Amino acid sequence: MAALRNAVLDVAQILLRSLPWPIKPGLIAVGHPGRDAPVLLTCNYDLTVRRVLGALRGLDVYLLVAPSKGINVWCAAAGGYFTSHQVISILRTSGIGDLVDHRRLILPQLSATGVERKLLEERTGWRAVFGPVYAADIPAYLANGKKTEAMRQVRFTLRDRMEMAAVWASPVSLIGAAILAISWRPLLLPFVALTWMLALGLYVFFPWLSKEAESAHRPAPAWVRWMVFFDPRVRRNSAVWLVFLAGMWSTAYLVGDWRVHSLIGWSLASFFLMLLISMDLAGSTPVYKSGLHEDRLLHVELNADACTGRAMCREVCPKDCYVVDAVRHKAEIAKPNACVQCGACVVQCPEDALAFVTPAGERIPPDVIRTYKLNMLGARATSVARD
Amino acid sequence: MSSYVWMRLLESAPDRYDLGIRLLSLGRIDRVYAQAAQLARGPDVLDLGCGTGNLTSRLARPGVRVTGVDLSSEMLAVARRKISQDSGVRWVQTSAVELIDHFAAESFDTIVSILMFSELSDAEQRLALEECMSLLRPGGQLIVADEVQPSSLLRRALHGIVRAPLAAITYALTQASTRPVIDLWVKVIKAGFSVKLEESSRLGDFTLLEAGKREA
Repeated sequence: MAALRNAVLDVAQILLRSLPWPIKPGLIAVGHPGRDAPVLLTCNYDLTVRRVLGALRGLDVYLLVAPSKGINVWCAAAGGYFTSHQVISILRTSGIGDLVDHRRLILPQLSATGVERKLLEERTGWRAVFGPVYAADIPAYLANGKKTEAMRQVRFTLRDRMEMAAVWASPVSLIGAAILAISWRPLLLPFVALTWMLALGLYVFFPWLSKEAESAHRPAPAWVRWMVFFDPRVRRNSAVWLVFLAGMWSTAYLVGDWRVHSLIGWSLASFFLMLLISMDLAGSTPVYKSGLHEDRLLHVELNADACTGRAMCREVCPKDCYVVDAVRHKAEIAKPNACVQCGACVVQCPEDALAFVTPAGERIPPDVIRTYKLNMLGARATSVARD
Repeated sequence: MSSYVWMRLLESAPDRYDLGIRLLSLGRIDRVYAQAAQLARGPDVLDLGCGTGNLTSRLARPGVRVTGVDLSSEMLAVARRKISQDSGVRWVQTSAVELIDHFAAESFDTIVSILMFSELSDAEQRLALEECMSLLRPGGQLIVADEVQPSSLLRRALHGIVRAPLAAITYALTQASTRPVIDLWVKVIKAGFSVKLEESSRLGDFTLLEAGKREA
């Protein structure tokens, strides 16, 4: 029964992957945790909590579920919904302090872009460490007591890519189907099938397609900023739309259906398909920079004089951008191009040695980044920097 | 007052918040602010969940020291722009369960909180009320106005019918929704307050509550 419930929820949540699914925040005792049991923390997105619980099977630990408005760890942390405040809240309301003798809290690594470790420790007396990115690595992490390099990195596996395909395909096929149900019913199923095939195709072949996207980093025309979904620089969009238009005319010719509402229906449906493939796909993934918004592509700047080599940056970087020289006690940004601007390193640096710099050369200091959660492509990134 | 679910839409855009909430509540929110401001007694007043400072500006009268608290830095930035520095309002960015980290016990005469408790989980509501209790001076008062779950079954059903479509649309647009507070006055009493005044909307889905902390 529980397995069936999980399976149904899995399908529903993957289809609605872009929407939050909150559960009640609180404390979950996994197995039979004692007074030395590790204390882990996650967000209150149902899919995440169920996956974490699956990974923790067989262990004796406490799992705190913090109130992140039902949004997953990375998105909530980047968007300002999963910060030190939510962690403090769950530490205080769950009563975990009375259940264990230690004060060591294991946070998901991807929360590092939102949760300020230093502030949390000062405020609560708990010592916070960033655990692995993936829940599946938790048992090995607990057994060895440390994180391997692989545990720090975000991957974009075939399974993740299929989920991302569902993120786009399910709303597009739903809206398109609703339009076609009124205007041209025979096209409904082919349209839905086409949407899913396109989305799945794009994401399955993403690692190869994205090479093109990466090389297309030419400045975009100004009007692009008003059309967030479109990326006119990727020429395949117009080619695909031409194919659709040709398909429309030939279908109309073959079935002898030149009625206006059929043509309108097909045009609208193909518009949504266009929308799908012209999304900022690279920017919607965890591993590539946006193909749009050069004006918001911040880069991280390291002030080598302030750095004391405490390696928090390397500890929280999901893209393995940093190397730390243990002899000289200095960090170095070895792979600046791999950076996805999550800002975790800037937020966590104990010496404030890191900052974002805008393409215009403006430096955004770490405190502003911590306060306004400036990272990735948030609209805030530009508006606040201007203030 | 089901339109409060629309707040979500506005919260993602603090700049449009004021105009939006006034339109959506058909001007009623102004009356709530006015009534709360009238009930508040100084000299030290805390506006808990001050947002863009709509109530804060009304509270800031001569001889009253107002502190505005909000979790959202963006909301506070709007409030700061709106209310002049001469008003002497002190702004603090923190959550309702971290008040004791920022303020000394018994440092306020009135704590006002409008449309904030519905943002909190059950456990957070209880803890926030406890913190309010410790922050208030003896004889001090707590004023809470929020969306609540109607107590009678019939009203709850009616409320649900009216609210569901609004909540659904808001959720689709902003992926968030409010949770009307359940048993607000029970929680207030459990935190040690005595309820002095309770005013509810006709549908019983919005309540303004004035509660007192006993004299020493």
